[in-house]
Amino acid sequence: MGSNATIRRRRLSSSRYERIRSLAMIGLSASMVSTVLLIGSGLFVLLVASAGDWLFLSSGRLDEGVLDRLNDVFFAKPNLENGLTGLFPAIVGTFSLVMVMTLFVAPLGVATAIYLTEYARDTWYTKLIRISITNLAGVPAIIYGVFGLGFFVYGLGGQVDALFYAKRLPSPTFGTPGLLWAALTLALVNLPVVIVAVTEGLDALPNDLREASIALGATKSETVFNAVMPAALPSVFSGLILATARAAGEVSPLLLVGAVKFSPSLPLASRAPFIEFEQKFMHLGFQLFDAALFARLPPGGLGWVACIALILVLLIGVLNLIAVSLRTAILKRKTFENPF
Amino acid sequence: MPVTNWRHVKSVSLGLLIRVASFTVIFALLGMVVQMMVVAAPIFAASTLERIDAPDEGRDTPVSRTESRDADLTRRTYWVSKGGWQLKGTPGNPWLWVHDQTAVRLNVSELPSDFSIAQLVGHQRGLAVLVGNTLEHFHFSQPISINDVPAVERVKTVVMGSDIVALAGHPRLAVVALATSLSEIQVVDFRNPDTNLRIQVDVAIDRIVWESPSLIRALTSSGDPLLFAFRATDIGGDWRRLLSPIQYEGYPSEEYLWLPLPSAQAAEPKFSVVPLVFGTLKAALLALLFSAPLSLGCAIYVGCFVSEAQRQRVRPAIDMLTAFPTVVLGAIGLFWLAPRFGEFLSALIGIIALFPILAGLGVFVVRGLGWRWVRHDALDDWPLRLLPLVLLVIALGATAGLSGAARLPGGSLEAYLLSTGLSISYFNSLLVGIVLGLAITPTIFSIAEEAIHAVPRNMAAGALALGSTPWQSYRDVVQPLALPGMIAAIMVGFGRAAGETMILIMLSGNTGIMDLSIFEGLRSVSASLALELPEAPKTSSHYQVLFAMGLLLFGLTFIVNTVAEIIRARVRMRVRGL
Amino acid sequence: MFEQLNEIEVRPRVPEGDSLVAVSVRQLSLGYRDNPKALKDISVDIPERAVTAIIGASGCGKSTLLRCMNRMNDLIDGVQYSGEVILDGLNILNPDTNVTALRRRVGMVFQRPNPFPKTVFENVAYGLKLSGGASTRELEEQVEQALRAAALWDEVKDRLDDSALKLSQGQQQRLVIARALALEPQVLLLDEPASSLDPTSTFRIEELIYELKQSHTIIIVTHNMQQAARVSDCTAFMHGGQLVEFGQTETIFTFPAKRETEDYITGRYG
Repeated sequence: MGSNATIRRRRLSSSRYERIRSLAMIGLSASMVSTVLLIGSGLFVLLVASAGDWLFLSSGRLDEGVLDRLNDVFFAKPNLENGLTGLFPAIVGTFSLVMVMTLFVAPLGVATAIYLTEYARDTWYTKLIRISITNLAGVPAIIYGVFGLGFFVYGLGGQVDALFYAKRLPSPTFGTPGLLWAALTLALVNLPVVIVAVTEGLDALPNDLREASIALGATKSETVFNAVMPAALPSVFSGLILATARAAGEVSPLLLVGAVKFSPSLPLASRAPFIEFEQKFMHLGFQLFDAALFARLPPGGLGWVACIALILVLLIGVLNLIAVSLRTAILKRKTFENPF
Repeated sequence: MPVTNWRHVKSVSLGLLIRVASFTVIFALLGMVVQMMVVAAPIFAASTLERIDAPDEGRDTPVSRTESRDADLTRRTYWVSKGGWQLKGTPGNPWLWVHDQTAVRLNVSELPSDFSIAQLVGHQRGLAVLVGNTLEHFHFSQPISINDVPAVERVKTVVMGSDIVALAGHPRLAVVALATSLSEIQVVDFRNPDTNLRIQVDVAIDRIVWESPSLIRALTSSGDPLLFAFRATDIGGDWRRLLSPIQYEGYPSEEYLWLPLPSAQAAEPKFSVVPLVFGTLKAALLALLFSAPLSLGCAIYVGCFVSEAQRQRVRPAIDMLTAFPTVVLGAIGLFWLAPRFGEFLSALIGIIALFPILAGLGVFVVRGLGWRWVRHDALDDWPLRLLPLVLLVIALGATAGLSGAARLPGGSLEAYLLSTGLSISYFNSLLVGIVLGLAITPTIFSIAEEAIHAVPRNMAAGALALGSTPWQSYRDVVQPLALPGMIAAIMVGFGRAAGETMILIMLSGNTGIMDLSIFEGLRSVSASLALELPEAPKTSSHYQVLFAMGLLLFGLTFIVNTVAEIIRARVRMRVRGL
Repeated sequence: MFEQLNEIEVRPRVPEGDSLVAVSVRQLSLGYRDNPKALKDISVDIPERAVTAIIGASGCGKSTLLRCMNRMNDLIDGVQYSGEVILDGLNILNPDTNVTALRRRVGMVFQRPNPFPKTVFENVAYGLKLSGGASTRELEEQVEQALRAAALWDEVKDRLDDSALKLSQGQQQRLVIARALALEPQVLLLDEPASSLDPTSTFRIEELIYELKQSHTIIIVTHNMQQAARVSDCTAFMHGGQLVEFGQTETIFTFPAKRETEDYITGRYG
């Protein structure tokens, strides 16, 4: 800078405008957060209020009405008149679906992730597979339903019927939507998500872990299962958390491969394998959809629908909670015990 | 040493197991596409006509019975019953409508009297008439009222090259089989006259008959019948018909229509994918319109202006929106929003219109409270501090909007809009857009916030040290770097909106109309898949077209996601180098 | 106060004579969540148009003290401070201070060069454009002046429209200095400016500092004692958040008054 002495009047009055503008813009974006939080809590309050209103206030006498209505909510027999029914079977059905789906997704998803990170060489087709699977996570669930209908229900199901249940034809046993196909389809929906979650978890682990195990003379599978996997378990659970939420809440594939409105019995049996795979089952999300569109609801209909919605949201919350607590439990165990 | 061998064996077998499992998974996931393509493939096949060997048969074939019934086709009187009237025609004479009961006769001017052969086609919906060497296809359309005579209109005219000696109409489709004087068997599909389906034989043909929808029997003078197999899809053997405007039977002009199961008995099924794709895009774009300001605003605030600790709290809070599955959002939209949509819209307009004034008011309020209240260094608490202000804006704006709407002629917004001639559906695109926008907000927020947060703080601090305001440092330094990531976020949101099914089924009205108005309903690809697939017979063209549409949707989301992922990968590399 | 710092007159250069005080720190204490006693009761007068070095072991609070001068500590979660930092008779720690205007008078250069992902020209012009209203010709003149002052002009004059990220580390650091100089700040804060550079670049930076001190007050934080000894006129030694000793560099390095100072300088610890 020159050594000349100069008095210069810098025009910094725009600074004032800039400051106000800065505050205003940040304020605007912060108010977006407020709005989103408002909407979220507003929706929840709406559901609770409607359900509560229907449960408690619509009946004449508080005490009697409430218990009766609660009983109705869960255990009412299917009412062919207004299209409503108790939700207990649907809850059971949803649980069964999530369990069977997890049975498929967990081992298959984890196995694929392990293969992609630990066993496969880093070639162009491995990269391609990884990218494809990541992209498949973004494919709409209905597409999986379309495939499920074509391949599982008509394709596999038709074959199974022809081979094993020919006597019952033309009435289909497996060649029709049912618990097994629904679970498999949802498993497909969630496989990419689980694979991506577990792969990320495995990638994040430092290589020293594997090298140390090999240096101690462990075989490949011992390294993977005793050293690497325990460290990656949290990410496995993260993936399963996402999967369960989706399985309970994603209805569109079920419209094609799974659920029904009224089922004469639960898809459970008293003898092995304890689950009736070919049965049609009731599902909470499907009930909600059906009730919203086809039931002849009494005036002020949001009440019953809100009940179903609330139970569904709570169910998803409970499933998430179970998965999250399992994950925390695993994490805690790792800190105190030798993960090897 | 046995121990080592056992461990080795175990390792190898486990490795094998893992490989088998993952190959199955990968095969299944990638095989999805292949399977869908296999199912949809027939729809792209062109129509075929081929000669097949005649099976051994005795004298007493069905054809001979038909043959004895049909005298020379060129001298026959044709008639068909339609809605209480009978249409009668004899070659060389004008056609007449004769009423069943009153015996009133009406000339049918549309049909030519100088015809030689006439044949019914397509479930008796249409008439193929041979005039000289020209085939004319006519369609009967339903009369307006019961006793009116059905309208007859010419749909297509096909000029044939040579003389035609025999003509037979397809029982189901608008298709005729014919034999020429040059001993050629030809099949003309009126839906797609350009297809060249002809087979040359070496004997003269006397008569030609459709034995079944896919079998043609040609009778030669020598008595030995010739058999031909005809295959055509419901879309007329030309897949471009899925995309182009078509003048369907009974329609005055070319249109894009999706009506695979028309309500009218045995009317022509209409397979145009265009209205459905239009509907999907319309819904997705409207959803983006509503979601983008909300989600990007949140992403900017959380990604750039908030401390680490607070960020760990706010991010999950916004992700709470995902706790509502789309079924629930759709149900809320159906039961709570749709009945009140007019009022909701008035309130929304009120809020948006009043926003500048209220914002200015907010500035004055804050100035009165002193700048301390909203210092730049207390940014963490702003969402909570601003909550009362937001509620105030919403309340004031809503009341303004509602009272303004009440003052409109008609007493409400809907009434006013209806009076201006605008038609409003109960299930309209705007409703879908709002609820769908809410559903995709967490997705866009998550990705955009990640992109903004990835910009090194060092750089933003550098701008601050030069005396820029926090907003300036965001706008000049952070945003240019984060912009590709934000665009990728929008793309992923678009993909999700395009694939969303439940909200679309419940709120779009599922009307297959193509209208730019946001107050009309729409029908999306996903909703069509969900509603129609369970009922479509698995051998039908409908089923195959649906699978083709599934592939289309899959392709769209796949491409959008891939491009977004490429953008994000590039940004990640760029930021890492900083 | 809000209004006062808005319109600033650049003060005329007074010829050599009395050494005036540029920044006066009075009983400054500062703490934040991870370190409640980062600075303890610091008082020091930084002389004008001279180079003051702050030295000390890692974690003693040198950078924290430096960052108080332009209120950059506000960016830390849960920061709290007491005391005063006086510039031109005004306590800049006052909450009502116009911080953006402050930062144009007190410039900062960070440890790792952080040029914006823009062109060389855009980087230097960034601060100027914030004030708004300069014509393109004025901008070009000011950018050239700043680049000359940072001893970078000759190397980049043909590459003004190239991305700043293409320059070498040493050039980037000088670019960042030019960027700060463009605003003609009164005080220049340097936070270990040469620690990520090679010896040649370091040397050039030190030369630059020597030139710049004729017209700016410079406060430099450095963990390199030799550099402090070469470059500074006054030195402050800090330890554990406290100012242990402050005085002329020669004195500190030859006859330190405190035991801890001597221990640090002779390398007995830290």
